Amino acid sequence: MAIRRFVEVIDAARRGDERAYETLYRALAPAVRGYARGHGSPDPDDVVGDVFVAVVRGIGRFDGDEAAFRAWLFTIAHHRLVDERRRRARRGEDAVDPAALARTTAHTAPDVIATSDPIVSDRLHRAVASLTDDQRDVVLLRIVADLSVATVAKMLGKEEGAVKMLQRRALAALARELDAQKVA
Amino acid sequence: MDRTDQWLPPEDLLDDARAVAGEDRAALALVDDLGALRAALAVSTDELTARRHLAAMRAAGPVTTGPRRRHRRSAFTRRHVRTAAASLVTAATLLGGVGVAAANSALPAPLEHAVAGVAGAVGVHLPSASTSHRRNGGATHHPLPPAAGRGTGSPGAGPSGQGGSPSATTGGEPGGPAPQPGDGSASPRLTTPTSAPVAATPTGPSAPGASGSAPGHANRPSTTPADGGAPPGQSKQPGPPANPGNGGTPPGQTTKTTTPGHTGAAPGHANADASPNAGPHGNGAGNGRR
Repeated sequence: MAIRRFVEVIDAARRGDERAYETLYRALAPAVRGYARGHGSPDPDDVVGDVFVAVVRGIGRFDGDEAAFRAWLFTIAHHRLVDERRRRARRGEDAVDPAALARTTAHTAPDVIATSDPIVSDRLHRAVASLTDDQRDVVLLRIVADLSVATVAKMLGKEEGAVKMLQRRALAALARELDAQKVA
Repeated sequence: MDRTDQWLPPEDLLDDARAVAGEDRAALALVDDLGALRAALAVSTDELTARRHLAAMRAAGPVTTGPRRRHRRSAFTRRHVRTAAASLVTAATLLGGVGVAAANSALPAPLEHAVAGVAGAVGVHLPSASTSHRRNGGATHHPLPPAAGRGTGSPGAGPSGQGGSPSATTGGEPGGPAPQPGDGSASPRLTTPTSAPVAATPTGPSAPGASGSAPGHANRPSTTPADGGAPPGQSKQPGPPANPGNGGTPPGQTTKTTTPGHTGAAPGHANADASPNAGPHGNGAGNGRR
């Protein structure tokens, strides 16, 4: 979601303007939440809150356009999710099944019920869960975060070619999974 | 509910979808599924959670938005400020009390002079100085040296004829009872011992203006040397304000004159009181005590 008059909003946010905070939050929080949900975070709202607090604390050091801001925002979210994933691995916890999370969210969050078909969501979440971590990162960053290949490559510390390859393989896996679900 | 805006897949993703699906129809179906996935994931949080997040952002933001945070001094600083304020109040009260006491002449003379000196150094004139002068017979700031005053008031001092104790002012009513000749108006108690021999030396008209007399009084030669002054009831010309204690005071009235408030004759009246037989200490202005 594009932010109108992004430069002015960022300047105001640097000065601590609360309306600028809200503008940024309303525009980008859904994508961050979707990214966290796609990664199977047990509490995507908690991730969203942490990410935006970190943004406010570091916005004085930010310098760039809207694309750079999005890249920075999702880098923070990505690191937050990686840390969460490592914590769960240390504790021997399994990541939350995105499909189960989607069902739970659909039954608890009114906005999801109103806008999403639970059956479709379940099918899509299950397809995403079938991807590897790298494939999931690339697909979610490309689809949900609207980041370019170059930005995703830089963010993940990979070559652009590697990102393109991961993207193509991820799409192939998704197509297979969705076809399998249709057949089933 | 805020669904994300209409998603337009980037070209490279469409190319990959076509490459994966093998045909355009399957590719478009895959892209539709990706759009649905995006729409299913990227949903807004509920309003309560959003408000909680915004509050956390405000709390984490800079303090330039308003008086949400007010800087407070540390406890250490506040304690020092309180101590300094208490010290200032105490010092001001003490100084004010001393100043008031000095102005009321409630302090001992040395301390009073010290206070007056300090106050004068900072440009504050304390009335205590004049009070003190009156109490002391005006000797402190008398323009003449003490020795000069002693020579006046000789017995029967003709020209000056200004007897009187240093503070003798009330005595010598014009037309009043004439003092005894040679009886200085000043009480012996108020004169310095050294003045007696000097006072014994008569000073005549040739020595007008016995020193120590007030300006405008002493240097006027008397028409009647024996009288040494204007006749009773006929005052001399009033000159400039006489020094306190210039008036010739009849005996018997001098003892009271040491009291502050009675000292000093009214300007220009001092000599009117001078009895013709002004005593030996007639002009002992300011010499009464010192």
